[in-house]
Amino acid sequence: MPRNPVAADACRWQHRDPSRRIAPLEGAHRRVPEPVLHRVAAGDPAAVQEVLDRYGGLVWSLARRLCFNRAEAEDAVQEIFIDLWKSAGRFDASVASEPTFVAMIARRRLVDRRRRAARRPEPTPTIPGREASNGDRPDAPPTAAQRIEIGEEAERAGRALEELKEEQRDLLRMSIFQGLSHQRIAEATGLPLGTVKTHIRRGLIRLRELLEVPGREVKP
Amino acid sequence: MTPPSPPPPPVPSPNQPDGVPPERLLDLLADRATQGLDEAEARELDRLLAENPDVDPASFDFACAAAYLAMNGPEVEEMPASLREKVARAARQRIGAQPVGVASGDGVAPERVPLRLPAPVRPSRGPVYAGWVVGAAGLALAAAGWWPWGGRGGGPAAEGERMLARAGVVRATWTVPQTGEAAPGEVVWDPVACCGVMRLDACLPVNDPRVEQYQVWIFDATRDERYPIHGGVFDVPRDGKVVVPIEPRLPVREAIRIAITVERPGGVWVSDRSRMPLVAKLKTE
Repeated sequence: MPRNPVAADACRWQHRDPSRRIAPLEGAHRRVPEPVLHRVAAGDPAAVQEVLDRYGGLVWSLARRLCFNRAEAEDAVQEIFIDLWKSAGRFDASVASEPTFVAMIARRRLVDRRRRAARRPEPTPTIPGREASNGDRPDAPPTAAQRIEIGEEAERAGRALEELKEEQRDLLRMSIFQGLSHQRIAEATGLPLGTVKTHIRRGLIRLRELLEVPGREVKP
Repeated sequence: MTPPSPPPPPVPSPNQPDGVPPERLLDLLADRATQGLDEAEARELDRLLAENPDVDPASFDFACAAAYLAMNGPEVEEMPASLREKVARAARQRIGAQPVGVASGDGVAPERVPLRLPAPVRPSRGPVYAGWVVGAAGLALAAAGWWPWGGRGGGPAAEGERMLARAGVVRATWTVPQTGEAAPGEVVWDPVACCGVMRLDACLPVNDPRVEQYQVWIFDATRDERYPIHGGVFDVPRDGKVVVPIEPRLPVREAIRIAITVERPGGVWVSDRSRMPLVAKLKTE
């Protein structure tokens, strides 16, 4: 059985030392809003409005990107928020930022829906570096209309992505951002399916490692 | 005949002595986070996770979420207002009885939250309506101290009070159509949510629900005037005080009038309007 020390490190996060939590960025003085999900979990109806204010656009944009059409996106968003209300009590700010938690809940639901609709044609892939000017989706790309607080963690992820090998970064973008299956990525890039899977897995492991290592500041 | 499906790939042994998780577990976690698993894979993942309790099952999901946020950046498309309203409505049912559409002090207009009604009773025969039957059955609120709406906590009275705070809500008073005289009580109608609440203050006689009941009608300017929309039936208790929700059974586009008729128990599909004790005009007709 091949051993992968990086994998071993990356997957022992469950019992990690609190001191190994994601370190704040030096010089980051931006105000971070107080988490609101615990108030939802406590049954505070007013907190729902705040969640919608903060994350409605994020969830909607994710759904628009990963769903086949607008009607499906609307259905998905309703399911996602039901999931979010159910999961609000599990939010732990020491594990992930609130935007990341919300994005994770949304992605899980969307990936699941996409899997169930796997027989349908996937959007045309766009190989990073060769994007059309209108974005990744051929049909109605999201129109930016709102700015959200994506969280310090996402900023770190952005820097961490820059540290990945170019091939890993490109394949992760096609998978995570464009929502393409590994098979579709293999067809689009000409890489063997196994190679695509390996790059994605190693890229994720590396990404998480870069997010996790204490005191290790990725290059700004 | 379909050949048997091939056996699953060999599963590596559980945790190695040094705690390194099996490659297959990492593959499945990465697959789940990026493209989902089929049922067999999901079962396999569950088994491997049970054998490797130190592995955080959500680790790749968090990494993907953070990466997505980084790739997307802070600019997002605003959620459509109608969808937001649906989400807020569902949240209200799950999280609490308080209105979830209250603006959070940022100038956002309050959302319209439609009323929730008890489940309708199935009609027993013919065109008899079930709807919500008020009064002795307990749906009408005839509580002491209810004036003007008397809503505390939940129920139609509280909903009526909350509706009054919303922008665009229409209020109307009752009129006796035969005489043109005003009658105590009022109607609050939300033209966006297309629902309302009505209050009657001892202006209708107590009815015997075994003999007759009051029925609510919503007149829609976009529909045939001969066929107003059914809004439910109710009874008047001894003190004459009634607060009931109005929830039309059909979509209402432009409500212009609410009327009350006296009908047989359960209501009717089409009223002859021979006994119409009260009308409330929502808009100038």
